[in-house]
Amino acid sequence: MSTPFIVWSIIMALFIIGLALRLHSVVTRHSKSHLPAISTGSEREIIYIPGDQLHPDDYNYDEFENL
Amino acid sequence: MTNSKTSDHPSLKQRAAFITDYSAWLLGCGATCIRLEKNVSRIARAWGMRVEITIMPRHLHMSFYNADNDVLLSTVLPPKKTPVSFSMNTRLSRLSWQIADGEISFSQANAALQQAVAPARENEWVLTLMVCFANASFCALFGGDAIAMAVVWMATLAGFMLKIFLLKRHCDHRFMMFLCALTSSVLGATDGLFSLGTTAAVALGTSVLYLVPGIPFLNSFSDLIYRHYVCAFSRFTDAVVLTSCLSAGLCTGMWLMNVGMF
Repeated sequence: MSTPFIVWSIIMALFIIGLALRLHSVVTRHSKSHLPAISTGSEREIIYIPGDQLHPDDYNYDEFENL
Repeated sequence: MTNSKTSDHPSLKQRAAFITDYSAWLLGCGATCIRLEKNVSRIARAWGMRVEITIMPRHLHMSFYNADNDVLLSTVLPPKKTPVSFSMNTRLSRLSWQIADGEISFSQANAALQQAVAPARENEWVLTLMVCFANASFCALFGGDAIAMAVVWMATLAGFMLKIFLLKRHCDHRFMMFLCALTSSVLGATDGLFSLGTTAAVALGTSVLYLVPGIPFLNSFSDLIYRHYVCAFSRFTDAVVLTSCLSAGLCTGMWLMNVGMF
């Protein structure tokens, strides 16, 4: 790959990323729900089986002492 | 001194403070020296004073005289650091006429001054798009084809967004010029890199036109005509430095893209 193409690709990639971030901030600022487009969470929020504890602090550790 | 509106009697110090503040804002927003002299003289005359201004590139020295030509007081103030704004310039000039015509009182003038210098809430996206279309039109003026115009539009969008980003972070204007010119020139060489269209050279050359400091150049010539040589030379030097940074960015972009100079 030639140097001009590498330089052009880097500048274009930075421009596209910058534009995407700028548009994202404008959209989230005007969004009614104010939910982020990208967020992190635990697998407990994605896969739920009835009986699972909703919060890790809810686990009764006394149950395991008898095992 | 009488006003047609509610009568208030500002002290000499208050009047001088207003005129000094007004002058600092007017010079800071890009007004020429002759406009500053005329506006300030108009206001001072309306308030029964005479003012002598020494306009230096980084300071304003003003001496206020009463009707008997006794020196009342002198003030020294640097110009306000504000972007060049035609609208602020117009509002301040309109304010000077309102004062001269006796339409507003001193207290109203103070309030009007604060309103006139408040930062305007311009839509950044509208401004950016207008600059892109303007620069693309320049490309067409210089004989560019449709592909060159599209390339220039994209290059201007990238460069202008970078300019706004850097200005918000108070980046040095010279470094900002260099980076924006580099970015626009690299993207402006798109049609030459991929052999699109027939006017690649026009696209490259016009991709940085939006950065040219036209107002400092024009103001320097205006000051030269009205014999404000110190300010004229200072503004011209400032414009030359900015243009040199723009040229350095353009040449660096052309070198990186292997585009010949001649």
